[in-house]
Amino acid sequence: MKPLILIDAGPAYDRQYIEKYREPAWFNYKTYPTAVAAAGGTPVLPLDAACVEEYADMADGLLLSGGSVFACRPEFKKQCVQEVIPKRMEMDRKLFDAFLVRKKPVFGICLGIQSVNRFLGGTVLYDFKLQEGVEHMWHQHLVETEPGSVVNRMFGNSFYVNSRHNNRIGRLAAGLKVTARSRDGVIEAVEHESLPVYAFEWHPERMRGDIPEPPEGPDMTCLFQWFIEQCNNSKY
Amino acid sequence: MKPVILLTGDEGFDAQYGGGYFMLNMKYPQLIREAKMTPLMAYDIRSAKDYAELADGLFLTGGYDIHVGWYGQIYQNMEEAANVCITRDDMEITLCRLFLEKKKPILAVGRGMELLNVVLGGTLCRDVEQASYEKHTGGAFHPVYLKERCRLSEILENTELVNSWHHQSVDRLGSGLSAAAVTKGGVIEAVEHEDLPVLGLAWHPERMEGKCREKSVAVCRMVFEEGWK
Repeated sequence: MKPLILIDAGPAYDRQYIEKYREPAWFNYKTYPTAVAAAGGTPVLPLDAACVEEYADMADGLLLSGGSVFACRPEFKKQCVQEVIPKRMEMDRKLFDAFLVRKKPVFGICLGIQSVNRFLGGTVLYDFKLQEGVEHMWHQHLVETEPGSVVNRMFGNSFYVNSRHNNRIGRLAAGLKVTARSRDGVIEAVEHESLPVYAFEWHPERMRGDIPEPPEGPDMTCLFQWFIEQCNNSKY
Repeated sequence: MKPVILLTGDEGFDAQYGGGYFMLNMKYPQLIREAKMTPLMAYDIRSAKDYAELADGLFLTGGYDIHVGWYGQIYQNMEEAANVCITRDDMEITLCRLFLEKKKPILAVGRGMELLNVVLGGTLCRDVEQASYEKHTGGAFHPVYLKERCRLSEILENTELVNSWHHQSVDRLGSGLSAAAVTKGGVIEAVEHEDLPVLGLAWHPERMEGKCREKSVAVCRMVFEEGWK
């Protein structure tokens, strides 16, 4: 059996989803499970915070995916978002803790890197562009990597990534080290000093195959293969 | 260890943020939680065999229409196919076949029952209200009449009131299936498999409240935990 990878879901927060259901729903883009399955993992979506221990026992890795949880747009605040966001955060934190205890690999993407930092005691800056005048929403840019890190080994000292976020890591949590930064100072990737925790502010799941976003960026399929391998190794 | 139940999700496309997505109404995992089981959602068709291996049961959830080609019909006008999602059809049909092969329990609700019937070779009535002169959309409650000695009759009353959110229905039954509940006008509202713990419901147990809620949880447990004895 291939490594089982839990990919947490976001809330259905946007207008079109609310109009479709008008009821709380779990939601996620296909890009995450597609990347995991293409790299040799079996992706599943956890649905119940009460089952976190079962999930952590049966799964080999956790992928904390992106989403708009910390800064949902005000026009949607009164709708189903209110019910869904606390449910997601409750489950994400429990899952993260349960995987950490078992020393099973955790992979964070976008909101996932912010969650990882927050769960470990760091802070998140909301809408940092208003304070810093830096636009990271739909704006590809270069990152500079730290020697010895996974991303440096795979993709080199500097490369293009996509960018789809309004919030960023503020104070870094103890135990985390920065492995990539943008030139305007945003922490773009982290690894844990002693635990198998790796996280990225960009979306590696969208940097794959024939139509990578951005086109000048590297193909990050190998990053997922490497992650699935870590998950496979942690089985034994 | 609690039984692990695999749920299927709805699919859609989001042009602004780019790409297809999965979505699942939280009422479905809530029902599984009340039945004291562990819910997981399927995410990728390439993992279908792994899902069928790791999960103890399959919950085919509600949604839009199945492509008519799956039961030997054609569209006169492609606008009729506006709500069809062929990737969801593929995923659910693949999973349904695998769970049937492995003789693992299946609970199929709404669209799920239609899909189950089609997988077993049955056909669908594409407009149940036109065919039956009964109201079946918008959530209205109506009674169903149970067949003698069906499994559902162990839990439900003979004239149980059920909700109704569907505009299609089972027409010719798939092989191994029998009608367990029908409306006054003869619309099939529930199907049971003669050998396997496989149950299809036209109504939505996850939307039932009050006393009916307990019965919905009991139906879940009958299919997934107790099986057909």
